[in-house]
Amino acid sequence: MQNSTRRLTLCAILTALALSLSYMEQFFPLSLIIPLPGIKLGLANIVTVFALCTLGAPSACTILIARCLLGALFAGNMNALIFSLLGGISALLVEILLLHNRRLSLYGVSIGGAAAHNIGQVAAAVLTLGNTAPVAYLPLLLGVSLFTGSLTGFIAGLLFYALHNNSLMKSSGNSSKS
Amino acid sequence: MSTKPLIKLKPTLWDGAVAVAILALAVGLGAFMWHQSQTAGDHLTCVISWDGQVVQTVELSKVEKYMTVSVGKPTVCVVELMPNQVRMKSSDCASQACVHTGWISRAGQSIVCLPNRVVVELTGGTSDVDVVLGG
Amino acid sequence: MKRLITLCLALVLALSLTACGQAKPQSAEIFAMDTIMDFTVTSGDAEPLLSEAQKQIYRLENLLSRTREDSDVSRINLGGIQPVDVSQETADLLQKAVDYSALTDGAFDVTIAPVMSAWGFTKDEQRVPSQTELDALLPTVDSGQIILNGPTVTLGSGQLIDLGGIAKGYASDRMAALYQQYNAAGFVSLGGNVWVSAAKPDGSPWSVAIQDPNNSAGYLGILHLSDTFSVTSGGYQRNFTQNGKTYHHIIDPQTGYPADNGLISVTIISSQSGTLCDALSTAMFVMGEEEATDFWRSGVCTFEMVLVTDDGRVLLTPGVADHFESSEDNDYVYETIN
Repeated sequence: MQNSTRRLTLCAILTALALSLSYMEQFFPLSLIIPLPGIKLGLANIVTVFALCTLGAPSACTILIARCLLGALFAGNMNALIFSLLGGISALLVEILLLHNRRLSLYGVSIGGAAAHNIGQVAAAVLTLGNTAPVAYLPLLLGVSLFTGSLTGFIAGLLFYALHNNSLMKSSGNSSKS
Repeated sequence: MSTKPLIKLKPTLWDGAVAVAILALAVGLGAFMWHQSQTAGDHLTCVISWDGQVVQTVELSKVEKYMTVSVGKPTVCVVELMPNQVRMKSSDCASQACVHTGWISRAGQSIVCLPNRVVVELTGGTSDVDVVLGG
Repeated sequence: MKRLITLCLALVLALSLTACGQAKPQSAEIFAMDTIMDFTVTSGDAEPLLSEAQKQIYRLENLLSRTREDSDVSRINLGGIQPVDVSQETADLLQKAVDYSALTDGAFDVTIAPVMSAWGFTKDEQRVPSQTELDALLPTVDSGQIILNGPTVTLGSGQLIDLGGIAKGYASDRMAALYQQYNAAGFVSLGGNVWVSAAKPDGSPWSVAIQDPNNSAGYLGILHLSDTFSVTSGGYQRNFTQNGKTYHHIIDPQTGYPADNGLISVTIISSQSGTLCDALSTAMFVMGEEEATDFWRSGVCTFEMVLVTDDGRVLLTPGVADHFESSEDNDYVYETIN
């Protein structure tokens, strides 16, 4: 009983965190460098990877979908939805896969997730533009994902340290995730 | 009490492997696209359109000996393609001006069947010509 | 780790070059005025210009087409000998046509329309008319009988007009003005009536090839032009064969038969007017080599030309000889007219 309340609270906090990260990263003028409208750094992936490790895939997925929907709603831009959904889900799937390898650290998983996130965003651009022109940016984006992935991995690591001894974590930390 | 770590927090060699894999993908993709853009421009291409819509694009170098393209449902014009030239093989128009045009082989040249609104244009290749007069 | 980061940075920078590319020229292609029209914009705001260009072409087609029932030309033709009021634009163009007719001694004449119909060129049902038919129609071929008074046009008895030999040239003039209005560079090819703007993006002149009249797959040569109109007329463009004889579409207003004066292709170049190029390309073809060169020498009109004779010679006026690069893979003899 207490566990599920704590889980719910943790989910809620993480969703809020992901939302604010999403909101914040729109101030970074990435579309000046890579002219695809709606392209994002993918900082919210910090939450996705953290949630995957601590709460498990189903919860992480819920948080992801919730923050994508809410984010698009708050921004008043439904077009951004397809970018964040495709990017986020691709990252989630790849991270689930990578997490099975215990020899990978948070950095490896995050970098993989960031790369997948960018592939998802390019796919979204191809869908919205109706042609394959955005694929031209993929090599550059993949290279950039090494940086953004390291960054999100680093920050997620900070999250782990910060919440390591937190009571919220203690109760849910020992659950499903192997 | 500290819990068993859910995930390693320090970078490992395996992370490097992931990074290298992503980099390899990026470089490979980049090289592939660069190669495509280099070779695409060199090939003489035949663009066939009907009523303003492109119905077929054929790179002439990919034509083995000879091929035909039927335009229209039912067929109104038949275009004949060879590795270095194209022509209107047949048409159901009255004047047959398009068929009489004969073979074209340079980028910028075109064969038009006005009654059927069929246009056969050659583009690409190493063309030093911007537009053709009286073609 | 630091070295890995540096390596990644370098690679990312290198890869970012794949996203770079040159701006592609924008083009549009439409069917109008019984031919195919191409527009290309290499610099400037392409979309609004291309859309406006197409609108203008369709507007002109509706005004000047002989096959549209409510066009100015059709109304003139249906008016018989009654005065017909048309737009000032049509009247002005008709006036120009009448002037060219006078200047070329009737070699260019828009009243050739009934003869064109007799040959079936108008309806794409070609046939050879009988001599009696032509004898009856030839007296009506005389632009001098047209009366123009402001926007009012009155034809002579039995006359019909067809502006097809000048309309595309006029349209190219309007296109040139439109490109200038939009401050754009590029070129148009309106059924073979070409206009090129002042310069290519890299400052070099445009390469305008002249079709080899004897070889559909080849060129006569390449003209290097900028801010210029050019038109090529030739019997090889539209013709039909009956009983072993080939009849082309450039009718000699004097004989009523396809012009047979030793020329197979005429190219007129002018930096002033596409209308002039269009009209003169027909006129010079009808006139033949001697009269055409005399006409050019007279200086009545300012233009350059390239003539191809039926005995394998290519004649160029001095003004264009410097801008012409002959093709190597043909057997023509190139001469300069003086």
